[in-house]
Amino acid sequence: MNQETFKHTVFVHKDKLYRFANRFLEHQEDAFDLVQEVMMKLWEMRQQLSGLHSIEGYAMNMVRNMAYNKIERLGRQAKYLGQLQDEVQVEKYPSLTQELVLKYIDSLPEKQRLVMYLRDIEEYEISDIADLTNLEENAVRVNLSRARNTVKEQLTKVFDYEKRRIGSIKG
Amino acid sequence: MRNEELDRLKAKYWAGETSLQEERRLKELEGDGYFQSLKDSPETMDWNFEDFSEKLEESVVQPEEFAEKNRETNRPIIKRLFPLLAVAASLLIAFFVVNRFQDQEQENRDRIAQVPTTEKETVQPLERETVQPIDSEQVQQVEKESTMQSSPKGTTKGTDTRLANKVKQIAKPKTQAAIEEATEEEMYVEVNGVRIYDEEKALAVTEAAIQLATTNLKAGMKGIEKVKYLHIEI
Repeated sequence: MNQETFKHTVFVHKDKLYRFANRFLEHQEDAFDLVQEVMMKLWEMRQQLSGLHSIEGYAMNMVRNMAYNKIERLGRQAKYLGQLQDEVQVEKYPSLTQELVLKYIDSLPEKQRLVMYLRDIEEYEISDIADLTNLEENAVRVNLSRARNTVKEQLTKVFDYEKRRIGSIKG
Repeated sequence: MRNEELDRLKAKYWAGETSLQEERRLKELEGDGYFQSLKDSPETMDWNFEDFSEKLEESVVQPEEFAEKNRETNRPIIKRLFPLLAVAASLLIAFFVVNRFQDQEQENRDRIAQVPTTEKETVQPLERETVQPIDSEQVQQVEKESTMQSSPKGTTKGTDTRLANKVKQIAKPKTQAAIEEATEEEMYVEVNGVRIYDEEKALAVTEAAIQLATTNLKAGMKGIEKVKYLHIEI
């Protein structure tokens, strides 16, 4: 595999990998470094990549594993331990943006978080998510449904409160 | 899209049963903040392929050297220093042993060279036992005799030789003392205060001592290898 082929088959996934790394790591700089490292490793093993079922899936797995190692190594707490949920709730006038939805996704349990992120943000097929998360397709759907409903409930709470608050001001 | 159909699709979505195509249709709906938010342009990584190529070239230039350096730096400092320390210790021991023998040899040669050749020849056959300490009375006697002999002008041959003999007698102990010193300064090895002059025996003892020192050094180095953390302040 030469550089040009690598560019079109592997490097083209860098943005997805970066966003995925961001789901695990607290700092964008860390996510950036991690993706660079993954790309270098993929380049080193470029001869074996052609035999893979999905290069993108393989790279995503690498990002996930390396991110977990990094989190463990640095002794950092993952984002989804609840702290971000509190941050969102204390916000006075939140607007319904992707950033806000992502924050709620990040606060979900690990499996739900990965499944919902890969499906709703990265638009992965259920079968690919099953490969990436080592889950059965049915389990992926169950986790996806739970994740979406949890996010919906939290968003409803915040925005219903906002509606009531606005209504009381008008009244 | 009709409301009924929309509600059915949304219900399907929350149940996690929609296809990707159906979900894309939902994201196209105007007025629904949640689905709109999912459609927002996602963040990108500010890194192009040229930067990647440069990074690649940097790492490819000396991969072997880097790998070697990494291996070296990953080894504990004691392990890295061990071969150097072993060589240094061996050289040091060898230097001291050789130096000591050379010094002694040189010293002996110098002492022998200091003794005048004529006197050395005449005195060589003398044994240690024949050496007599210089007696002050003897010196006084010689002086007395010499003054007595020098005062009359017509001196005889016999008194001259007698005087010469006496002077020779006094001169002798000096050269004998020098030789005695020289023989005492012969090469020897001192073990527990006992001097060994026999060359073979001395060499054997020295060799045994060096081996013992080397064994101790090796044992010491093995002990140091077990040290996990070492902090050295200079």
